[in-house]
Amino acid sequence: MDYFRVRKSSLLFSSKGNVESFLTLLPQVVIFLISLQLLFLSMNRNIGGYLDQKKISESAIQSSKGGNEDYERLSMIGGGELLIRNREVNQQNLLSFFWPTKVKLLSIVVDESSIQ
Amino acid sequence: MKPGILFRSTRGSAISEFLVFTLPFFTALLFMVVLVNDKNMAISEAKNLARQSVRAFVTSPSNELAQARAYQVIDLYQSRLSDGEKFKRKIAMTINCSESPCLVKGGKVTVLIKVSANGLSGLTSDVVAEASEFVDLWR
Repeated sequence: MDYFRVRKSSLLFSSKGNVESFLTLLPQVVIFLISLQLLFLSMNRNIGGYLDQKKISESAIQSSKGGNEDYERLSMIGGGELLIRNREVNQQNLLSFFWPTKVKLLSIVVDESSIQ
Repeated sequence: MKPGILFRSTRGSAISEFLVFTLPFFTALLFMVVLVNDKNMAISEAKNLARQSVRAFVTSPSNELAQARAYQVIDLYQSRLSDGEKFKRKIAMTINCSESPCLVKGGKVTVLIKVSANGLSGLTSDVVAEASEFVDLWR
């Protein structure tokens, strides 16, 4: 019991450190955080890409031509249309909360509803 | 210090040894994350392009326009990519038909998309995806 009391107080009030451990842990932590950041960004980009593809696929199936379309409709050779959704989104990341990373999402789908 | 002491002594700095052993693994992990992500994007892209191209092909009103329609999908997609992405991911398409000419009722059309993903330090890995559809019997 006395041992823990002494140990706790020395941890709180001691200013001693080990420069080796600092120099060792610093690159480890930096590389680990960069890896984590990349995983986080790639996961978000994949989710965004799939959601965009889902949205224009639904538009193509339902052949909805509302006024607030945020995708391009391009005529195809021989009839039909090609829907392309191309946008850049700001993605929050772990390390730089104030400077979000821009990610480009591109989705494409064939709309057959206008084929005669 | 006698030379033999090096072989008998087990003393060392645990922290330095930890760094020497783990830093290469963490660095490799970093590269792996980037490569796996590039590969994942290329697979997803290739699968979708194969599906859309084959759909454009089989819905063509005539056999002459079918190939142009499939290539139009790829061209328009590539035209929206940035210059860096165009260099990073080269897209090639191959069309195989079970019948000749291709657009025969009930004929099977297969589109094969190859995306060359240029990763870090010039490492290239090809991703191949294919999609098949049958030409409508009541067209």
